[in-house]
Amino acid sequence: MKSKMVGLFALVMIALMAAGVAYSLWTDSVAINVTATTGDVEFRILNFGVCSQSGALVINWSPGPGGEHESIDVTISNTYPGCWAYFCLEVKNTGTIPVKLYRMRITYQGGNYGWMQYYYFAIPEGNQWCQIGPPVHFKNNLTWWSDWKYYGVDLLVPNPSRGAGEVWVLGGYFELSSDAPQVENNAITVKLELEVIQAVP
Amino acid sequence: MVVMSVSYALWSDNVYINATATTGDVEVKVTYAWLKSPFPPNPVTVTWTDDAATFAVGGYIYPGFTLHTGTDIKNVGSLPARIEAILYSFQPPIIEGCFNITNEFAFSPDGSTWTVTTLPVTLQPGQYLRVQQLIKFNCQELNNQAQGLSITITATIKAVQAIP
Repeated sequence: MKSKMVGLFALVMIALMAAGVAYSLWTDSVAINVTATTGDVEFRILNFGVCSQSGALVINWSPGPGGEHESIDVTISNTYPGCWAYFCLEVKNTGTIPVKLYRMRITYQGGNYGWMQYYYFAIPEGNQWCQIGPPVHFKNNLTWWSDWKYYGVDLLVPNPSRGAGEVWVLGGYFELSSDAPQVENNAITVKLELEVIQAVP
Repeated sequence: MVVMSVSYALWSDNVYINATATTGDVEVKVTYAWLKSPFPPNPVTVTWTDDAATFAVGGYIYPGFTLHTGTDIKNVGSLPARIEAILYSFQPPIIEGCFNITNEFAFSPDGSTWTVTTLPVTLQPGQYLRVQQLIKFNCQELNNQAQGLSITITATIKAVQAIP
């Protein structure tokens, strides 16, 4: 009797295998989780101020489009060939990771476009508000991109990283060449724009 | 009585064949998790339970951030278990392309001596698999969209009975 049952069981199994019947496999699993928060690169230009200037220049500024404060509009009027000015920007790292300045761009917005190519822009030494030295960086060296109507430069000057929440001062300088042709209505408005980049790792 | 078809009981008896067995058990568990060097500048909290190891990165990560993890897994079941691959999932899903992950595996018969191996691997009861992940955050495709997100990467290691 027992041998008959074993034979029957074997027969059933062979029939199931021949028919290709699937059977489930037991499983178990473990997990490795990594949780994190990605950083945020943001900054704001908090303040702009003229430190010293030649003659009777009039310089005004306002936040950029949308008040986003990553750029400001600067209008200069009463300009004349040979005029110059030093100015300071106060910049704050409003993001969550360290950043450093990467690029500065000065884009024509309105006014006497014919004089744009006669401007020189530079970055003086110094990192205290209006305690800045001679315009040693980039003078006569910022590239004028006429197709896009801006001066641009990668800021490879001594440029330490700034931690989240840190505020720092960046000096600036501009000069209008004495070779600029005579024109009237010489006011000009430019957008002064900074770009920062993560300073880690 | 024959004409009235009166019924009567038939005597009978039965014998039984009893089959007893214990089902096997496919079960793996995490036995240890740790952070490998080079250590990131961020604080990282490492915890584990039987079912999961968790590496909670503090502070904020950024493109170029690298994390190197180690996790030991043991076959604590009664059946051989086969591990074929690691499946990854990402939350939020848009960050999937932001990570470059490479894995190294090591096998140990007893948790003391290790030899480098590759998947798939079959663990007999009591044997170990070590999983070391090198995770690099590099979010070129998303550019700035990946900023300010709370993210979770889950690596699922599935063990399947290795018999028959």
